[in-house]
Amino acid sequence: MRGGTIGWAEMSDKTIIQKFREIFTGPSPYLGRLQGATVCADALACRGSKDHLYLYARIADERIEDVKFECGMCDPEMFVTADLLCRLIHGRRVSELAYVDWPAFSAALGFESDDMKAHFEGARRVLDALVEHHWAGKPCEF
Amino acid sequence: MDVNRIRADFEPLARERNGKPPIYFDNGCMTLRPRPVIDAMCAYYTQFPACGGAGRSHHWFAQETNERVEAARESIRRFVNAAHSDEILFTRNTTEGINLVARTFPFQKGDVILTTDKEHNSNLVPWQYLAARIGVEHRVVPVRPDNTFDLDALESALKDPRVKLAAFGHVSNLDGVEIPAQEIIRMCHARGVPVLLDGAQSVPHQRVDVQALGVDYLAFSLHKMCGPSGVGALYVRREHFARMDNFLVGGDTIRDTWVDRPPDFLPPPYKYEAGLQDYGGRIGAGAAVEYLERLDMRAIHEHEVALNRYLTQGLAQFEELEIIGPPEPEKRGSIVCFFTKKPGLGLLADMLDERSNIMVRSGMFCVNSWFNAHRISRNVTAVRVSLYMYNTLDECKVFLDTVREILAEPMFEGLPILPVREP
Repeated sequence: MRGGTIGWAEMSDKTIIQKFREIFTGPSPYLGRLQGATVCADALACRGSKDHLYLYARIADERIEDVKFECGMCDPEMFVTADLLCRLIHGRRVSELAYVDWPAFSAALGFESDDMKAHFEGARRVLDALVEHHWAGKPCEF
Repeated sequence: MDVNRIRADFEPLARERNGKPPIYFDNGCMTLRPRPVIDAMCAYYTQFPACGGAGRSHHWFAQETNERVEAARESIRRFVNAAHSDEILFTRNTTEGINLVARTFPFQKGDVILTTDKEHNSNLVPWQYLAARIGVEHRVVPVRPDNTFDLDALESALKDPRVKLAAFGHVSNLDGVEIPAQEIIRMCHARGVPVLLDGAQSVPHQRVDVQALGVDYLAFSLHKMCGPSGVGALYVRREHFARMDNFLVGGDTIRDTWVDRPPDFLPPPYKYEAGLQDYGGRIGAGAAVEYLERLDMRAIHEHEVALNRYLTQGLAQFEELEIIGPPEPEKRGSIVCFFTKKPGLGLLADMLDERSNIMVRSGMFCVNSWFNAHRISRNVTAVRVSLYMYNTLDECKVFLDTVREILAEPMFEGLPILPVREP
């Protein structure tokens, strides 16, 4: 949604807006900071933007028992991406996270776009960092 | 104070984009520069662009460079009312000034350094680094719930005789709150504890008199007060030099060297200004404080508070926004910082820029530790309006109108107000 005119009225992708609104009106179970998280990671998810994605997970027996996210200065696409990513990894084994790739993500999203692919790749990097922190036994310090 | 006349000195304000002028509300980060500052720097590069420094060239251009640089030092001395010009050290910025104190102060393992829990990273990380490196202890004096300074907490902290330095932000870059520096310094000195003030957000906006305050160290940045970027200053009360170690060493810090014995260092301030320096920048810094001297610092402060009052009243009508710090604009000086509590408003700064050329800052403003300590949700974004003498009431009106326009977008209908703090 960055670049060009920024404003809700100009947004053409109604699907993203609808999904974005649902995250907050639901609200999504993945939105917020996870109490008792065993691992977390954060990063500027998209180059050239300020999207700062935070992922928190509680992992037990190598399975993601719970996961949540926060997103600072994020555009609607990043909120939608992070929320869907959490949904896709919730309950999975850590060893299965490699299978959460763009084809799997876009299939769950229901459409493909270069913009969403870029957002997914940014969020995926944060997920990779989270897995690295898990393997390294790095505690969640947020 | 004739704001229109002042604005004429700042050429970026005459620009337009999409038929609209810029509204520059990011002065807490860096101010614009008036023409006399640009002219002073241009004069260096076009008329006498030579080496300065005590041990370097002595020709025509070099002499002119040295004269102008020392005149700039004298202007800065006068501006903060230091007793001696050698108490003014040129640095690159406030951060370097604080690091200089951290590296040169005669700390020993177990010594305690006090800061508040609302410091800019520049007045936090150097102490944490020092703690890890030499075993000093960094201890926090927590601020009150409304972000104002807690003198009782300081009194309690000062009971520990291991406290060797107190380092506080004079005016917060997060919320504009000024600490009661005079009282703090009196309390610290009564316990023999010197005080370092981070003056990055105070010196540009109000009269700061180092002798009246009795402060020991004062670090500030010229780029926040009409000067060039990459030039700062550190005031050190003369009596402290005797106990201070070297900082950076090398060219321009020495009187003489030998291969078989230690160097003979120059006296302050030169022993703390190693290597070839930014002479053009220093000359521009001198022009900046001379520009401010011609204005009335009290009038600048009152002008900023008047604009703050207008913005504070205007923002109060939006339930989606929450001001950080005390509600009274008089306590927040040039800063109006607020949380955006509706989903999607994380992009408010971008929208303001795109729609009305309003330049503000969003994020954590290098005070990450305060956001973390207070468990501020990442899903709400803080936006900071930081004012200066050339800002106008009309600009504030455009700001409030644009905020109102954005918040009225249908997209926001029915979306909840997010909690600012995580449980």
